[in-house]
Amino acid sequence: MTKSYRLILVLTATAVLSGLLLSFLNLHTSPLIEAHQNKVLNDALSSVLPGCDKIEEQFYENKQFYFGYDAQNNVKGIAFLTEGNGFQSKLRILVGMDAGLTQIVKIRILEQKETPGLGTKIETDPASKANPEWFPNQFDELNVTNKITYLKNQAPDKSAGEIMAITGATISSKAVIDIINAALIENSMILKNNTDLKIGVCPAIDAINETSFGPELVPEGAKIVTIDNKTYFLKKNDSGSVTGVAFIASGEGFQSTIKVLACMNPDFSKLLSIEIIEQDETEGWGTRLVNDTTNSDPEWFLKQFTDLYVQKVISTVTETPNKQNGEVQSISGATVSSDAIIKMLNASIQGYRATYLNRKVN
Amino acid sequence: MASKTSHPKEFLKGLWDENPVLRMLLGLCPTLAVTNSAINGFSMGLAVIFTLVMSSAIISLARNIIPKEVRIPTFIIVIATFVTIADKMLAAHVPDISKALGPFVPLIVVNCIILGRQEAFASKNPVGRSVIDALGMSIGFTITLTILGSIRELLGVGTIFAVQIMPLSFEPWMVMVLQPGAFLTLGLMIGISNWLNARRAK
Amino acid sequence: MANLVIIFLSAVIVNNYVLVNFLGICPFVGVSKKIGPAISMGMATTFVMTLTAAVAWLVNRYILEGLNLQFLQTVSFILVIASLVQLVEMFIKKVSKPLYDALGIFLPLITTNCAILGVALFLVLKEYNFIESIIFGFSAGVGFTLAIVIMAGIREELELADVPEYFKGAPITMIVAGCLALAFMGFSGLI
Repeated sequence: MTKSYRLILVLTATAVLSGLLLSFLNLHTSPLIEAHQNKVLNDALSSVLPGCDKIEEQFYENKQFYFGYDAQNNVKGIAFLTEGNGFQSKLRILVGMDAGLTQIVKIRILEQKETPGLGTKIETDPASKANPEWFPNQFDELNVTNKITYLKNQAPDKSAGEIMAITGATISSKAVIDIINAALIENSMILKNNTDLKIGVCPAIDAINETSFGPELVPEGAKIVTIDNKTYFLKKNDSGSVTGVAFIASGEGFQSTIKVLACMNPDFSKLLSIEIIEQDETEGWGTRLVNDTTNSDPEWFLKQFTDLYVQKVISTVTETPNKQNGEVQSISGATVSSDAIIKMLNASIQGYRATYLNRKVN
Repeated sequence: MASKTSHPKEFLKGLWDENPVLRMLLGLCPTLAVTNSAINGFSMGLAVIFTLVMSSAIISLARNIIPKEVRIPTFIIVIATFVTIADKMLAAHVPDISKALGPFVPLIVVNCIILGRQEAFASKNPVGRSVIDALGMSIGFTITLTILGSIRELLGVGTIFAVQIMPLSFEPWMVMVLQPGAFLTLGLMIGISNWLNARRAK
Repeated sequence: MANLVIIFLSAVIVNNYVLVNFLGICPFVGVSKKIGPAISMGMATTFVMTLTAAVAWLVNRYILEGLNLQFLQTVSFILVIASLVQLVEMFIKKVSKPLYDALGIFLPLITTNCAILGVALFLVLKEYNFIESIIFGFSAGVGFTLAIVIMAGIREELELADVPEYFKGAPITMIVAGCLALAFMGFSGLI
């Protein structure tokens, strides 16, 4: 046997043996790993949907929901998984709701790798012996007819949807709240569209009502329609004709996903207003999108979009912008975040406009 | 080739004289990365004990079959196989710890301690001796990691193995469980071990 | 495009490979005594990392995921890296003698540099696409170079400092690295 034969033989044999061994290992471990993942999810599900006799999976618009039923087969609660960015890691949260989506039953943080000792308190706080899960437990029976908000060092009011933030980990606490808020808006909309559940005053509707369509509109809740998987909120006046159309646009900002509720006039020529419903941009820079403390009007950036004509694409200018031409100014120091919003709006206005205007009128 | 050192000595050298982390500065990446708590450091150590002992045993057994020219690739395949086994076993049986260690379990492959011991010891010594050497080295590694993890956890969170040690009024030094704390603590530990060693030599 | 810039900044500064992710510590301590070799080591590492990122992505997508063999990930990545380093070494030796003299001795060291395998594992974990992976590999290398060159600069000055005897060498390097890491923490939240 020549030398090179031996080299090849030994290496090949080692590689083959290793491959075989690992395949057998995989046969043993992969069902266990999978079973563990299922167990984690099932445990979490039974804790966020307590007292349900049966939990079933349902898919609506590619979103997964878990429906909990009582003994009489009535929907007792609904749970969904949602994820987003925390301070330094991805957060995955399972949210259990009552059947009317007005109250959170319980949440479970399934995945987080926040700063040890600070951000990790969103899951457990070892320093609090009596109640290490005080932060997630605050969400038990929390009223969500309004958006969840956070307080610092004050006793929160559950019926007003208030949560006390963790000292030293405000960003992580806020991330949990923002992720849940955004998921509630999106999911309650989907459920309202696709099921005949009696959904109460849900945050989605609330967000619409908060956003001004203009004083000429009747102040009743918006109607939700779905065309080609795109969801629209329609505002109608007394005689039933549509006076405003709103939709949710989302895109990547500088460091987070930004979701914007955009309200337009029915022919899609003009933006009536926009509201940011989710963002987690750099504190101080990117957050100037919503609250620019360096300006006498902290909301100047968003207000630029009020009554902005969008027949052309929205563009940025450095001098005084002309609303007729769809011009706005970006925020110096946060151009990536502000440009992201403009880019996202341009893309989604185009998409939503085409689908909406080409719809079959019935 | 057989050295004259006795078995207990072979074992003990890994704990202090040739401690892989403090004296030989090997395997520093996992040492720094996973020691933000005592339990993480300890579990990492266990994974290394398993990988090092198993690879040393196999390579020592096969030391006369493996041709010199392809020894490094062969070592690497053997090590990578055992690392994968450790990784998957952790994921299957203790998923919480596997989650905390993250990609640092697969990274044991490139931990210089393991390849270094194969090259320097297992490929030249009989099985028994190699296993004892591997045990000594990896236990030395585990003890160091556990101590490092305990110091950081104690000062950074006030607990060791999640048991409250510091009085509740103790304000945790956050920085100890963050990245700088790892460098600072390890630097001090190496310095102190240098000092102890020098004192012992006198 | 913005996405790629963020990957770059994040790997170089915010999540610096060495100071935040603790990858490549061995060469960081071993080859950071003088600025010259530190730069060469950084360049060699950047080069291999970029290549590894590209190859590891292809291997992962078309072989491991394609054939459902993810459990062979660690084994195949380390083999890819080992053979890649060998190839690069032979190639450089053949093509450019000066380059080989500059980088050559560092290449074998790179195989067991966990930063390289780290790149391969992280790009799978972060689900990057092909272009993103290459940028990530390159930026991780730049981040490594940045850290090791800063460290070498400080250590050249440390030669003149009066360090307690038992803290000379590795201990003081670790403590300086701790201070650097503290400084780099200032970048967290930037992106």
